[in-house]
Amino acid sequence: MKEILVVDDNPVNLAMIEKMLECEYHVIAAYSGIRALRFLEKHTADLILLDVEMPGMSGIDILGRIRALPQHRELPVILLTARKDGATVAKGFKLGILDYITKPFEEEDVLERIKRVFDQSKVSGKEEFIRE
Amino acid sequence: MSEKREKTEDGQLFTAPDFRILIIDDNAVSLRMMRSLLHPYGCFVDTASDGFEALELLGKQPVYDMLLIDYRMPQMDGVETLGQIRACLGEYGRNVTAVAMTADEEQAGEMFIKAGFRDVLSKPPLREQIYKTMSRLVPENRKCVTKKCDKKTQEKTDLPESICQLAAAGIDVENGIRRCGGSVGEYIKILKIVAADGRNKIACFEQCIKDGDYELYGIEAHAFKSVAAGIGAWRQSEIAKEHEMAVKNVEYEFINREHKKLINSYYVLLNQVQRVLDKEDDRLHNNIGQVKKYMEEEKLLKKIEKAADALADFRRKDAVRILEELSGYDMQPEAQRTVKEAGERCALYEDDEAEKLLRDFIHEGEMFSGNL
Repeated sequence: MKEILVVDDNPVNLAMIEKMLECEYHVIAAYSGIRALRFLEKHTADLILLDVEMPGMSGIDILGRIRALPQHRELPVILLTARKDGATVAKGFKLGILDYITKPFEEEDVLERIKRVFDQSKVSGKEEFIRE
Repeated sequence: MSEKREKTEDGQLFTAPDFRILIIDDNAVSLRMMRSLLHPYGCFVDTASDGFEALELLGKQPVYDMLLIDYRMPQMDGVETLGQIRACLGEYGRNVTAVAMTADEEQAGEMFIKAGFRDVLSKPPLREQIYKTMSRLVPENRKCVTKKCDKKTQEKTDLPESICQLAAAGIDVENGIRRCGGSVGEYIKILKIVAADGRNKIACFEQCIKDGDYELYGIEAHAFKSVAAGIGAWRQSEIAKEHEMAVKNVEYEFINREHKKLINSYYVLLNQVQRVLDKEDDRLHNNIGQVKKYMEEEKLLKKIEKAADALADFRRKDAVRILEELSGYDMQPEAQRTVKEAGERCALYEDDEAEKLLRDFIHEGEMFSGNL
């Protein structure tokens, strides 16, 4: 089962996402950037769903810290954002996010976007294999 | 297409699967809410975020049978938008059915009718209002009437009484339940988190005002908007959105003037949610009423350590399961309080704090001192 790390300071959002995903994925919920980074120091995940607006360390700050960890430079990330904030999303794309989801989210939308990211990874993984 | 059917006045059910509606509103939450309210009719629903987008869309595709137009929109309001549609889009524009939506209670319905609207919906509209408008304005030959709905069917509901009361208080519980995974049990779990988290959040809003920390106020307003929308509390979500936008637009005067409205709306929501939870607690206690078994001290300590280790190892669910198991045992007050508090922290995903509580309990060695 693929592992998804969900980072959001809002427990309601964490609970909702956990519920949405738990049938298909193993979910690790982190309510702060610090906890997420602590997880990533020792473990890894197949995907991160990362909330943008959090007090203290924002999602973009956390993403920067994640990318600074050599083992997680390529880790797929989807941003969770409450609105289409062009500037923030652009920063996210510069730091290598694969997609973003606007809140409040619909289950179908979340599952579809995650599936798409995993499908993309599968395709790019195959290409690398062929190149090798 | 939705299997659900809305009932007609004479008790019959109908959908309108080939009926096309365009909602024109600059507010994303309202758009979503209207979509959700129209969902049971099974019609095709499209949206435009202002009058200009609507005119462009209708110019290319004059296919919509009904337009739902918000009155208060920046640059071009609902009346002006309809005026442009009537003037610029030929025969289609002159004849298309339009319904106004307004959150302004003082706005006279007559003004909208004179402006060419066939009906007026208040914002946020009630399900019954939508039903009346749809019944009246969807032509009979476009309705798919299925079967007679007898009184028993109309009154039948799977929702517990407490949740029905929440719906009666204006919360879109159906939408909330869908967002929370589709079951009432999961919805109630989320409500528990809302209640537990909400008390801290209200204190945080008050502190932000005291400190003049508008940035944090904006982040909290944003979070409240999302939480309220998640459980179907659209009205509260709208209020929170206004405050979030005010921070973004540096309208601190608005915040200073209106923050009590936001905090009150949070209080009202929490009270409504708490009433549901109290009723559910009563129901559970009435069902249980069994004598709890006593757990040996050594075994209890080991279990608590296991829960703490699970949290440290990011296995939150294992920790929650152990704490739930422990809460079913009889133990001394200090241990009981620790297990309860750690469980509450876990419910809020505050895993570090929960782990600390458990470790402190172990390290203090109160069990060994014979206090337990």
